[in-house]
Amino acid sequence: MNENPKILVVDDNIPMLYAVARMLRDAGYLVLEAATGTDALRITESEQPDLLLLDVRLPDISGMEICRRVKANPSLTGTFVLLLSSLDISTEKKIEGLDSGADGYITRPIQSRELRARVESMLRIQRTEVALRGSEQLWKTVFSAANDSMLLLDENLIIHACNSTALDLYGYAESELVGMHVGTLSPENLREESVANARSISTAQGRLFETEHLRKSGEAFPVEISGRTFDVDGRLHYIHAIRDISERKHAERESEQLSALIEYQSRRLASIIANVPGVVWESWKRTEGEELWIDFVSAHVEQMLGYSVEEWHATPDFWLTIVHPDDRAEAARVATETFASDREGINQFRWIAKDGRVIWVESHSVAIRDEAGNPIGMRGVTMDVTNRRLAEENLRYQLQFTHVIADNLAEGLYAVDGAGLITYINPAAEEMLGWRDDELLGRRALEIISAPPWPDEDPHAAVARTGEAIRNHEDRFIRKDGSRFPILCSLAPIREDERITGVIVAFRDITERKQAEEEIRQLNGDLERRVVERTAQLQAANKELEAFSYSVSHDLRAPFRHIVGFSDLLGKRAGGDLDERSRHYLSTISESAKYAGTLVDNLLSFSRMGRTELRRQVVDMTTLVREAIADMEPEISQRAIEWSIGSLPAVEGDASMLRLALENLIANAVKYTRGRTPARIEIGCAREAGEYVFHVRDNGVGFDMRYVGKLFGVFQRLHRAEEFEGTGIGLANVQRIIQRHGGRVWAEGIIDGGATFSFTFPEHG
Amino acid sequence: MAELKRILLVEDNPNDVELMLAALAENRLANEVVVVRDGEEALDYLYLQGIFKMRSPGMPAVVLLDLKLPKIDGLEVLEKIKADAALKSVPVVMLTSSREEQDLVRSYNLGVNAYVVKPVDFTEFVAAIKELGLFWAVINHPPPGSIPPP
Repeated sequence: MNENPKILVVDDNIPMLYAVARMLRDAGYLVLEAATGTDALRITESEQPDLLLLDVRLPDISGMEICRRVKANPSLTGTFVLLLSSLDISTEKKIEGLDSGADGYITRPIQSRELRARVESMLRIQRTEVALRGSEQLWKTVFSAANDSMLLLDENLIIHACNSTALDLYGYAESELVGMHVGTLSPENLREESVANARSISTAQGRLFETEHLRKSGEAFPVEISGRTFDVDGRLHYIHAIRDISERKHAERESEQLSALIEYQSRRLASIIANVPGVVWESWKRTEGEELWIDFVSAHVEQMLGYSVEEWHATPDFWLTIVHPDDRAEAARVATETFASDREGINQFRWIAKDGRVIWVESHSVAIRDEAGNPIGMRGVTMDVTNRRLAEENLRYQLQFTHVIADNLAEGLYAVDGAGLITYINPAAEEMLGWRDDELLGRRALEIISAPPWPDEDPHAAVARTGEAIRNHEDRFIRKDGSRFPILCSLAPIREDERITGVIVAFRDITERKQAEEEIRQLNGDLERRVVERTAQLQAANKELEAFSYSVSHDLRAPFRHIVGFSDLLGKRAGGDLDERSRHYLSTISESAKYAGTLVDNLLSFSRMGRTELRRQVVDMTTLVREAIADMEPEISQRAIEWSIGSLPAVEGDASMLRLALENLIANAVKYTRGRTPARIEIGCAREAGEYVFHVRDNGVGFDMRYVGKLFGVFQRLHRAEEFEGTGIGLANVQRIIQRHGGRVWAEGIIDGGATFSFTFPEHG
Repeated sequence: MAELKRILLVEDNPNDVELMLAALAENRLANEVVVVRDGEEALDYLYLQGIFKMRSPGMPAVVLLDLKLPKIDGLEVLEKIKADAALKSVPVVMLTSSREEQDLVRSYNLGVNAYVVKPVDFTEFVAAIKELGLFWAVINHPPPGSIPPP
């Protein structure tokens, strides 16, 4: 408040005006002066004086009128009006003046002391009223302009007043809200608690609590209530500031969700980083230097390299210090380059672990930049690629190995892709075909290498289609110079996983083999021709021999027959006339001729054994032996012979030949045991190593083993004719017969100790 | 009572003819023996042709046929006889030096009635002829049309 109250004195009586002004100035007031009503209004509006001393009677506008106008002006509510009037003013006029809003009346003449006292009093009242009015105004302004809803409650918690924010909040009209019990605003389940909360507010302290209120529409919403109490004339009143905290609650919930999400993402990221088979890292430049310090490195690094995370943090550019010395310069160069560029830096190098292991890694890194675009750090992932390197090295080695093989193979080798175009050819193939590899690559193998005519389907394509290899296929290839040569080739599909991506062909020049085959064919042809010729010659010779034998059998035999016949006839006719000697001669002639006849017969049979075909059938050897013995009955009956015949098998052979062989052997045994009493002849068979071994053993005169080699020769005899008759053909025949059946014959003997003749016979089936 | 039937002996070797006749004589077989010296003559005789155009009719009781003959050999003669319906009933005894199996087989295949290999031993020969003569010329009844007893 102004120290010096401002007073406007209005009077058309200038000396009066002056006197009053002087009195008030002397009292220390700020005094304004106006002589007319018009001036008074103008000055009042512009200066807003605290007090107007207004003469009732003015020439232009009456004091009553001015008073009314001032009071009607809301901006002048702080201006008090004292009317000045004469003593003669009627009571009626005074009432009119007070009705016009004047705050007081002073009657003239005015004593200086009275004036000062009245003005002072009036100003005190004015100041109090103005202050009061300002305070109320302030309160009202605050109450209605508050962002929070305000409810003023009486001691019974009935709403006494509310502000417009509250009306907006609850959706009630003021008339509805005022007079309502505050518990009505709470949902039923919270009402009791809410009322209790409201009542619990003590005079001294305010209290803050959260609950839910209902709008008129019935919608519930969260509120925060700040409650205070105050006394009015000894009665308790409550004031509640109510804030809708829906948004705050929502924000809180969102915040909680966001926190959870952030936490989840962090955990996820940490888990991902922890499981990256490598190191995830970030490094930053510090203010004091150019080096990059590791700011983050994933824990996997300890497992991978044996250095703890702390060790990584402790030294600038730590990663570089453990790079293999041979790789360090290059690794540093790539890092520097990447730091300065926008591109991802990729580099492979070796790290040496704490325990000395060498680990191949591949590092991917990018620069981190500040807002101005200056690089301030790097981050990246560094993966362990040792196994990959090993696999690559292995592959490289295999590839090299394959190349060495292919390049040094004597066989020609080429590969085609799925379309039959040449993708590879080895030096041997180049040499054989006369092409260089760059002339052949990309060309169709069938057309450039295979000599026409070509099959309907390109064999390369066929192999690529079916996936079935072709092996040892003979074909003809064509050289660059157009000459052709025979080859032997194999085609095999090249598979990548399950897909056939091409065909590899290995081939060999078989010109020499073909020539050799041709020679062999010619030789074979020659041989066949010669065999045919020789066979024809043999057949002719055989025919001649047969004709010869045939003649011999007829023509040679006849004369012996005649000699014998006529000797006999002569003997009969002249027998009585001949002396002893003559008869002896005659008999010798006859005997010799008969012997010659036997000789011819045996010779012919021996010849036949060699010529005639075997007629194989199942032959029971026991039966054959018994028959042979039965045939010799005339001679045997005269002799004492102990026969021992074992169990003999059935064999497959020519019955008449086998019988002849057995006859010969048995006849020999009978013959050479002549003079033994008793003679023992044993015939048996044993099975040895898939063949039968037959034997005929006797206790006869035996033979000298020195001559065993002669035993089976034609006309070979070990005994003189006087001792044992014979032509020397029997055993030769036996040998021939057994040999023709695939067997062997041999003899063992001791002079005067008997002989054993054995022969083998293949066991069929 | 022995009926004497005619024997046709086909033999080119005079020694054999003589021995045969001697053997027959030894056995007192007095049959009429007609000797021809080769296959051609044998067929002439049987077909009453050539020099035998005028011979007395009738077929021999047995033909003793040597295998090896000039001109037409014994097997051919045998074949002709056995292939001819009029002659095939005439008994033919193959009389030969040969022991060749092929001859034996062929002869039987052609329908020979007996096959005799002449033994070297004369005594055996005589015995064989005796058997032959008795059977074919005396015991056996020849088919109708053979030469009747005189």
